[in-house]
Order: sequence, then C-alpha cells, then structure tokens
Amino acid sequence: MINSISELYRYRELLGVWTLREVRVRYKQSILGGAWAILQPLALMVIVTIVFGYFVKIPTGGIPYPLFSYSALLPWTFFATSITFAVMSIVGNMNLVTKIYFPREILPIASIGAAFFDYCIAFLMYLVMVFFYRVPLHTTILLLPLLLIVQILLTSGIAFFASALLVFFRDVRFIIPLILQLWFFLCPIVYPLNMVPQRFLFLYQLNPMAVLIENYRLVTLLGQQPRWDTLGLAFILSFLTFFSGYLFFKRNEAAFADII
Amino acid sequence: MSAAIHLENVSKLYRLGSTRTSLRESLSNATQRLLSSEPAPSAQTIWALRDVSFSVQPGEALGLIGPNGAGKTTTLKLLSRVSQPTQGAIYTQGRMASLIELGAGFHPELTGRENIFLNGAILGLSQREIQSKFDTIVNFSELEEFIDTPIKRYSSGMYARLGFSVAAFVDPEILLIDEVLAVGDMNFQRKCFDFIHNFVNSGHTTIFVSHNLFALEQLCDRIVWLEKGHVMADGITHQVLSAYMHSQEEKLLQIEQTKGTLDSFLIIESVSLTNSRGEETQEFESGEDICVHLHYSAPQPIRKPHFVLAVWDGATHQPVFIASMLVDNEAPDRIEGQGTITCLFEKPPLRPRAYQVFSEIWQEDLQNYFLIWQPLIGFTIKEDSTIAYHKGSLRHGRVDAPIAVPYKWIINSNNKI
Repeated sequence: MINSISELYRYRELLGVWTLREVRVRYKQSILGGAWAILQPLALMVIVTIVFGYFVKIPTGGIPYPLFSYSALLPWTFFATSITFAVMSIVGNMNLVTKIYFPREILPIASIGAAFFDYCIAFLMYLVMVFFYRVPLHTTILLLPLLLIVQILLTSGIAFFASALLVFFRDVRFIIPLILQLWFFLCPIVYPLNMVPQRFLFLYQLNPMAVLIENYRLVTLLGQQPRWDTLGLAFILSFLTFFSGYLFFKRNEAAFADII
Repeated sequence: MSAAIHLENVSKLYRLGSTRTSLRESLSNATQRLLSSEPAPSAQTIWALRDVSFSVQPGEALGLIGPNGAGKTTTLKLLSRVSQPTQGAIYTQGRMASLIELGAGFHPELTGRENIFLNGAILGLSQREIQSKFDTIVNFSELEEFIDTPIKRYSSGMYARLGFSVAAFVDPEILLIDEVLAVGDMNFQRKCFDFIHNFVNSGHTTIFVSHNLFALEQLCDRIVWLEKGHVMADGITHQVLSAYMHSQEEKLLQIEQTKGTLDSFLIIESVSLTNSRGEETQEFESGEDICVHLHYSAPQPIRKPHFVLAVWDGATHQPVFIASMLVDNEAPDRIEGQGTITCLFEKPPLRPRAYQVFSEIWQEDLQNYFLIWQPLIGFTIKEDSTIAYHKGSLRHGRVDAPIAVPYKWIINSNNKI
C-alpha cells in the first residue's frame, strides 16, 4: 500500500497531465464547451423544481426550492459524473493499458479530477443564484473542502472497485447507472432530511452520500455547523471504502493487461 | 548482479477464450463449484513463455527473433512491466523506455503540441524535460507547420512520426523496440534507423524485436531466438541468424512436402527482362543493368506479399546474387488486380554464360508462400561483351567463375640485386 502510494507520487505529473487531457477532451468540439458543466446540474435543478417544488410542493423550511435543490445537486453531479467516467477509464484506455506501464489508478483518479473541474465551474453558478435570491453567504462555507475530501475518498473507493471489476465483468457497465439512479433518491436531494421517518433515520444515515449532502446544505445554505456525529461516521465509512477499493484495485491490477 | 536485464526461468500463462466473462457465467461457475466436488472445466490455456532465461549486459544490443507466436512480444510486455510473469523473476537496472506503441495515449482531438506533452508524460518524462526538448522533438518529426493542428487531421505517417519523435527523446538507459522501423516514408525510416543505430552505438542497452533480419544484423551484438515460448538459441548475431534462417527453410520444405500445392491467389502471368535502354531482351552485355519484371494478377487483395528474386548460375546451379523483401522489408502494403513488380539489378559483373532467374513469394505472415524457388526465365551474357570486358572476365583453364571484378596487382618487392 505504502509502495503503491509512493509510486503514484512519482507519477504525479502524469496524473496532472492526464486529468488535463480528460478536461480538454470532454469539451473539445462541443459548441457550448465548459458551459455543459453548469447546464447539467442546472437542467436537473429546473426539472426537480417544477416537479417537486411546484407540483408536489415539498416543504423546504422557507428556502427557495431552486436554491434548495441546486445546493444538493452540485455535489451529487460531481459524484455521479466521477463514477460514470471513472468506471470506463480502464476499459476505455485498453490500448494504453496493454502497451505501457504506469500505475493504473491514475486513470480513474483523473476522471474524478476532471469531474472536480466541472464541479468548480458549476459552483460559480451557485454563487450567482445566492446573489440572485439575496441569501447571505455564510462563513461556514469554508468547511466545504472538508466535506469534499470525505466525498472524494468515497468516490475514489467506489471508482477503484467498479473500474477494476468492469475489466473482468462487462455487466458492471449496466449496473452502475441503475445503482446511481436508485442512490439519487436515497439522498436528501429533492426532499429535506427531516422528511425521513425517525425509525429509518439511522439506517438512512449509513449512506455516506446522504450525510454529505445534508451537511453541504447545512454549511453552504443555512450557515450551520455540520452534524459532526453523522459526518464522523460517513468519514469512517468513506475511508473504509477507499481503502478496500484501492486494495482490490491493486490486487487485480497486474491482470488487467492480460484480460482486456 | 551487474546485468542490465536478467530473466530467470520466466514463464507466462495466458487463458484463451475467456476475454469476455459475464457475471452470470462466473456466478454459475461459482455455484457449480459449491454444488459439486468436481472442479469447473478450466478455460483453455497457453504457455506464451516457458522457462525462459537470459540476461543482457549494460550497453549490449540484443535482438529477439522467432516466428509469430514465439513469445517475443510477451517478453517485451513482461520487461516493460505491462504484464507480470506467471512464474520466475525479472530483474532490471536503469530507466527503461519502450517503443512498443508509438503515440501511446494520443488523443485525436488534441493538437500535436498538446499530444507531445501528454505522450511524454506517459513515457515518463517530466513536463520540464519535455519543455526543454520540445523544439528538438518537433524538429525531428518535421511537423513544424502542423504542430498546432488537432492530430485527427494528420495522416497515419505523420501520426507515427510524431510518436517516434517523442519516444526518441525519452533518453532511457534501456530501450525496448518492437518492430517500429516501418514508420513513415523511406526518408523517415532511414532517420529512425540511424537514430536507433546511434543509440545502440553510444553504449545504451537495447532489446530489439524485428522480422527485419537485415536490421537485426546491423544493430545487434547478440540474438536470442525464441520458438513456441522456449529459447532455441542464444549467441552471436550471425551464428543465430543463419541457424534461424536454416531452420525456417527446413520448415518450408516440410510444408512443401505436406502441402505440395501452390496457393492460387497470386498468379504470375508472365516474366520479362529489359536492358538499360528499356528494350525487352534475354541477352545482355556484361556489366549492363538487368531489370526483371514480374507481371502478376491477384484476384483478391493481398497484404504485404514478400518477393524474393535470385539469379542462378546456369552451369553450377548455384545462386549468384539475391534480392529479398524478407531482408530489406520493402514489401508493398497491398496489391490487388493486375500489376508488375520490377527489380533492377545494377550493373551485375556477370561473365558470358547462361543464367536463370528464380523467385519465391511469401505471404504476410512469412510462414506460408505463394511460390517457392521456381525458375521463371533465363538469360545469357553475350560472348562478345565488350563493355566492362576486363581482365578478370577471361577464363582460366578449367576454373570458370560466374562474376568478374576489375582488379590490379600491386607488387612490393625488396629484391636486391
């Protein structure tokens, strides 16, 4: 494990260059370019606002529904985009994996890096909305990086696991979108956490993504401290996911070039 | 251990036909294993390498030869750490780079410039190193005008040139090369070859895989000959090369005896000879250019047919000289329909007598052939040849040599009277 990480450190430049490539390639030859990074969560925000804000009229405690949903869609889009691209990263670069040696985890990590770039652009849109709705910016927003670190640990753990598994089982490609769709509704994105029945709450909060999204709202929108207890649990679960995912990835890495 | 590369009893097992496992199969296999005590039928396996050991000293240039499927590419993959040996161990010392895949990681949407930085990073260069070598790389690739064009607009030759140029400046201590000399036009091929030649001569360790025996002979100090995953021979270049060629010929004879028939897909319609004035003839002066034209017809497209022509002495039935695409690697990429392959023998100093032109034609895999040492046409060198009719052309008693070379004597005598 230590060896793997120190080798990854030696290849850090490749990681940077490959991440840049992912970003560049994604928006080359698309007319809107980087605007897509904003349009994706924005379009989702519009549709959930219409359905859940106007039709269903979900109570948000006085927060404008677009802001309420966008503050959660932002980290969710980062999560879903990362996983979607990272899963394909090994199989999609077969000719590289079978020909040249480098630590393979660079490929899924770069996908997450590129998705993080999108996140940053989409975050600017959040600031615009905050300004538009005249909501104050709270100092607790400075805790955002902490939440992002936990989210990135969780995301990379899943990405390592899924991208390695896809090399051996092509079914994974079809399972992942399904899981992401279900997962979306298991997080307090279109509804607030207090709508979850009390007796399910503990089970519900074993989902690190649900905890993270609730805490994103607390620190960005409401100016409150994060819920340290559930966040602590989410951190432990995310770290375990990361650790076991990385271990699984490194165990199977040697076989990638032979199987693909 | 001072060797730059050392392989110790290396074996590599590949599983065949299991490239696309679905989850269902694997689940049902797992349940089968749980339910019955019998092991699940194992997939077909193949030993790509079996107990291979050799080492390469620092500064040595080693060539790997062998027919397709001998394990050459597998060896390179193991050396470059892309794949792991099933058994045995590999030790390497020094920064290694491989010219196995040119332009690894190139993305068609990115410009030549962006791809140089990307490819360089994949090959292990730091961004600063690439920055400092950037102009040299672009210069070498001869692509200055196109460097800011997305490489999807490049021709395949330009693409390969850019790839080779980046790889060439990685400046490793050990270089692995897999058959990349066939890149770009003749000029660039020459440039690549010279580059590798310089690399080898400047005392770098090199492992070189090629079917181009000519290139191997020029570049390598030592050859390891692999066959079906085993080391057949390991020794000085010319010895191993000639043993290898000998065995290939024997194999062909065996094929010839078992098969006995010629492949009908390439038909030699006719053969003609022309002299230096372009006139068709079967009589030449000594020292005059001889052009052999093979008029073929190929009903279906044929990739990389390798033509070999030899002029045989009609009296002794021995070959006098040979032109071989197997050796010079100049086989046409593809032929279809009717066409002509011409070989110009420049001013052969032949003595007056009868000769025959023999030919063999090989398929792309160099394992099967269309034609094997068939006499196609004969010609004679005129008795009254006066062009280049020099002293060596005269017959000496019963000794009659097929070729004549100008000569002069130099006598250094210190005779004292």
